[in-house]
Amino acid sequence: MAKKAEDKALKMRKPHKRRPLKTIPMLILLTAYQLYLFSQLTVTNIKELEINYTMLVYFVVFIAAEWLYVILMRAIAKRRNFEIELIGFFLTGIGFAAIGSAKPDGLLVQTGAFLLGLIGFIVLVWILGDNERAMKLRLPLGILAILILVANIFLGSDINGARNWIVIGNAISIQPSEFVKIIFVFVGAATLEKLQTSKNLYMFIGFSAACVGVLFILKDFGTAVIFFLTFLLIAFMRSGDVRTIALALASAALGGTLIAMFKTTVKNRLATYRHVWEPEMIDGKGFQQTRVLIGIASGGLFGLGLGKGNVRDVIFSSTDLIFGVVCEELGFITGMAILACFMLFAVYAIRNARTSRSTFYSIGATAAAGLLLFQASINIFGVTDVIPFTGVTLPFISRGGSSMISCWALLAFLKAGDARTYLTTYGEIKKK
Amino acid sequence: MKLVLYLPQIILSLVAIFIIARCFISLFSMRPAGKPKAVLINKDSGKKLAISTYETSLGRAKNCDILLASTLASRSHAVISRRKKGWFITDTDSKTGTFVNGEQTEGSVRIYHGDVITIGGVDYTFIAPHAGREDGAPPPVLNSGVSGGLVNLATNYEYAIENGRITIGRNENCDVVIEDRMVSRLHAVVQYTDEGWVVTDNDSRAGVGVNGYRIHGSEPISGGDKIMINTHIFVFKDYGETGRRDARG
Repeated sequence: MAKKAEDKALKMRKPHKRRPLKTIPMLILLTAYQLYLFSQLTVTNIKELEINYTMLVYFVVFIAAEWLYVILMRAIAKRRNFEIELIGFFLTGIGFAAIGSAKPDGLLVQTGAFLLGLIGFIVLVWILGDNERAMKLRLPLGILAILILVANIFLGSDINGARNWIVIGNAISIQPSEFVKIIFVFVGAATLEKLQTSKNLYMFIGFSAACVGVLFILKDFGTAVIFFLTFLLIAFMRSGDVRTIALALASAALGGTLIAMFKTTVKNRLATYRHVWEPEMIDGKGFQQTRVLIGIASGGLFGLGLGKGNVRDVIFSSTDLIFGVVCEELGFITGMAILACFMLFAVYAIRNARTSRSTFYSIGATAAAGLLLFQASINIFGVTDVIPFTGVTLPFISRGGSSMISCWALLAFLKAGDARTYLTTYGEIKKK
Repeated sequence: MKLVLYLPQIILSLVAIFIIARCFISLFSMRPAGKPKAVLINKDSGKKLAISTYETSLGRAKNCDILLASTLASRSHAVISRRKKGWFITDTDSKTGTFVNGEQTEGSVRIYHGDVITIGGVDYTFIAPHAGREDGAPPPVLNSGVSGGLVNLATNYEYAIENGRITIGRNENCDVVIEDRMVSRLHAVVQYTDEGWVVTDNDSRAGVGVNGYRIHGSEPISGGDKIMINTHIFVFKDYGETGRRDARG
C-alpha cells in the first residue's frame, strides 16, 4: 500500500514534463527574434529595399558568433546546456538593437567587445574548472586589481564627472573598474571558500576597502556602491560565525566612511531626486529622468518599434538611459523581461548554491548574480527616479566595451556554479 | 489596420517572454538531486553519516552540514570535499585536530575508501567504494560478477547487473528490454564508473528520471534509487562490498 502511494507520488511529479531545453531550436527562435529586431534598423526603406550594410555586418557577426560558440562548445567541450548563454545572447541582442537605434556608431565597439567578452567567458569558465588553479590565481589577481585602480588615479581621465577612464591614444578608452569587478568576485569567492581555514579573510576585507576607497577617490560613486553591496552579499554568504560578525562590523565601518565621503555629492544627487517634474527641473537637472518616464509611458506595453522613439535623442541614451530606449521602442513588457532576467539569475544562483561543486562556485555565482542585479537595479531605478540617479550602465544592454566584457565574465561565474558545466572535467561524461 | 501594424510588436514581446521563461524553467528544473556520494560510519555506534554534497562541513556548529556530538570536536572542525582528483579532508583550524589513519592532517589531505578518520576523539570509517587508492591498498571493492540489480516495480522481476553494466532500451540486444514505443532503442545505461554507480541517459526521447527528477547526461545513483524510463520504474540495488547477489542472505 505504502509502495503504491510512493509510486503514485512519483508519478504525480511528472518528471518527463520538465524536458531540458533543446538548444538548437531555441537558438533558431532567438535568431529569428533578433533578425526581426535588426531588420527594423537595417532595412531603412522597405519599398526600395534600402539596406544599411554597415549595421548589417555588425548584426551578422553577432549572430554568427552566437552560433559558432554553441556549435564549438557542443563539439569540443561536450556541453549540452546553454540556458545561461542563451539569456546572455538575448540580453546582448536587445542591447545591440537599442544601440543601433540610439547610437549606431557605437555598434563597432560593441561588436568587438562582445566577441572579446565571449572569449573571456570561455577562458574564465575553463579557469574556474579547477579549484586549485583558481586558488593560485587569487593573490596575483588581487594585487593586479589594486594596481589597476591605483594606476587609474594617476592615468585616469575625467569623463562625465568621474575619473574612471583610461584613454589610450585618442581612439580607445577603457574603464578599468569594470575589469576590477570580475577580480573582486573572483577574489571574494576564492578567499571566502577558505573561510574556515585561513586568516586571509581579513585580506578580503582589506581588499574590499581598498577597492571601494580608490573608487571614491575616482569619484565613481555608482560603481563604489555596487562593490559595497556585493561585499555585503559575499560577507552574508557565511553566518553564525565570529568571523562573520567581524565582516559585518567591517562593512558597517566601510559604510560609515562611504557616507561621510559621499556627503557633498549626495547633496547634489538628492536635489533632483523626487523633484524631476518640478518646473525648474523638468528641462534642467531632471531632463533625462523625465524623458525616460515619458518614453516608458508612450511606448506602452509593446513599444513603438525600433527607431521610432524620442528617448534615443536624449544625451546618454545609449548608455545610462538605454532602459528608456528599450521600453519606448520595444515595450514595457520587454523592459520588465530584462529586469526579470537579473532577478532570476540571482534566485537561480541562491537555489543552486547547495548543488554546486564547491562553495567557491556558489559564492562566485551568487556574488556575480548579485552584482549584476544591483547594477541593473541602480540603473533602472535611477533613470525612473525611484532612487537618486547615478551613472551606471545596464548590464549587457548599455553601450560600453569594458562593461560588455565584464558582464560576460561575470556570467562565467554563474556558468561555473552549474554542476552540469564540468561533466567532462569530472569525468561524468567521457569525451569520445 | 492599426492592430495589424502593431501585431509584430505584440508578437515580439511575447517571443521575448517565451525565450526567457523557457530558458529559466529549464535552468531551474534541471538541478541534479543531491544524494549521498560517500558515507562516514561511526566505528563505535555504527551510525552512518551521509555525505551528499561536493563539500560537506563537519562540526558542532548548527550551520555545519554534519553535526558532531563530541564535545572534543570544534564548532567548525573539518570539511570533506569531492574534487577532480578524488576526496579530500581539510582540517579547519580545529582545536583537537583531524587524523587520518592515526596521522594528524595538515591542510588538505586526500582520503580513500576505508580510511579511518578521527574527529574529536571519535573514529569514523570513510566509505566511498569508487575512491580506492591507485596502488591498490586497500583496493576498492568491485565485483567482476553480479554487483547490483534492477528491480522492475511493476513485475518485481530483478535484472542482475553483470560486469558493472546494464543497458536498458527497446532494442532486443539490450539487457533490459522494454517494449514501449516511447522508450528509445538504447535508452539508458546503468554502470559502475570511477565515480561509483551512474545512470546515463543515452539522449533518449522520453528521458530518464531518478527519484522523480529528470536527469541530463549522467547522474550518480545509490542503492534504493528509483530510475524511471518513461512510465517504467526500476529500483536500483547496490550490493556493495558484500557483492554477490547470492551473498545477501
